[in-house]
Amino acid sequence: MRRLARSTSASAAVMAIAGRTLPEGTDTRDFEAAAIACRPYLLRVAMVQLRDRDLAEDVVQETLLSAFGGLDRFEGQSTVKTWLTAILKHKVLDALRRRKRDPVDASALEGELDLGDIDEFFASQGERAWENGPGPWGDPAAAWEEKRFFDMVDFCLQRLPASTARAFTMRELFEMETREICRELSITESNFRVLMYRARMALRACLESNWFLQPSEN
Amino acid sequence: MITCPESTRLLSRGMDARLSLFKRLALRSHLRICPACRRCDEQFRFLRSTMQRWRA
Repeated sequence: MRRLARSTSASAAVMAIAGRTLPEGTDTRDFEAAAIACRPYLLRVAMVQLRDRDLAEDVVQETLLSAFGGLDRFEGQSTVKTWLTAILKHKVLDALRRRKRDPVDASALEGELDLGDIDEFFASQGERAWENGPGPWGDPAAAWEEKRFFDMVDFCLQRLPASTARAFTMRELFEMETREICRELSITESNFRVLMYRARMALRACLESNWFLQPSEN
Repeated sequence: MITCPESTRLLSRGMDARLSLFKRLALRSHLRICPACRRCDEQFRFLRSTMQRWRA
């Protein structure tokens, strides 16, 4: 397979295109540069899903090649990044299907479904009120303006257990429906609810302690 | 009256599916008296917006 340059130093202009819809008649090379500028993001998402560097690299490579090959199908309704995310979704699902169901994954899932650790955010007695958090986040949307915030989001996602991270990003980044996610991960709807709850509670706590309640960050 | 662990589970569940009327009412009355769970509700929603923002 043809390898695209891994370390492309994207110009500011190119970076600006990546997050925007392309106006009609945009140069193909600009599109390609915009797509390559999305590579680090795509790789992060692929790593959250696959937890395997080589496999993730391959899937991102396939995504970019497929995007370049199907450029005529990009209608400018979404941003380049969103369009690439949709292609990545299909490539990731293919990779997960090709990979034999891992017995390690299956036993790890048992642990992820046990919410004993998440329960520790609450008092063990009485009305089971919150013991740790949630703290005041001020104006959290201001964090979106900082690139480092998304590095922290990525860090927190990578720290989630495998199936939890997969279910959460399938739902929130790939915007898949519950039924579809359950089928791809071979889990029940009740399992899905537990994984999503675990993901949200853990991400909330991770961003709280590493970003929002870090005096040096804000 | 539901507890905070129950309320937060319903908050999460309600983001992926429509809750029954009974659950919605139970959740609403808990949120009315629990500022910590109201904050959790906002933070769960913020997580969703953040992921949308990341892919845009």
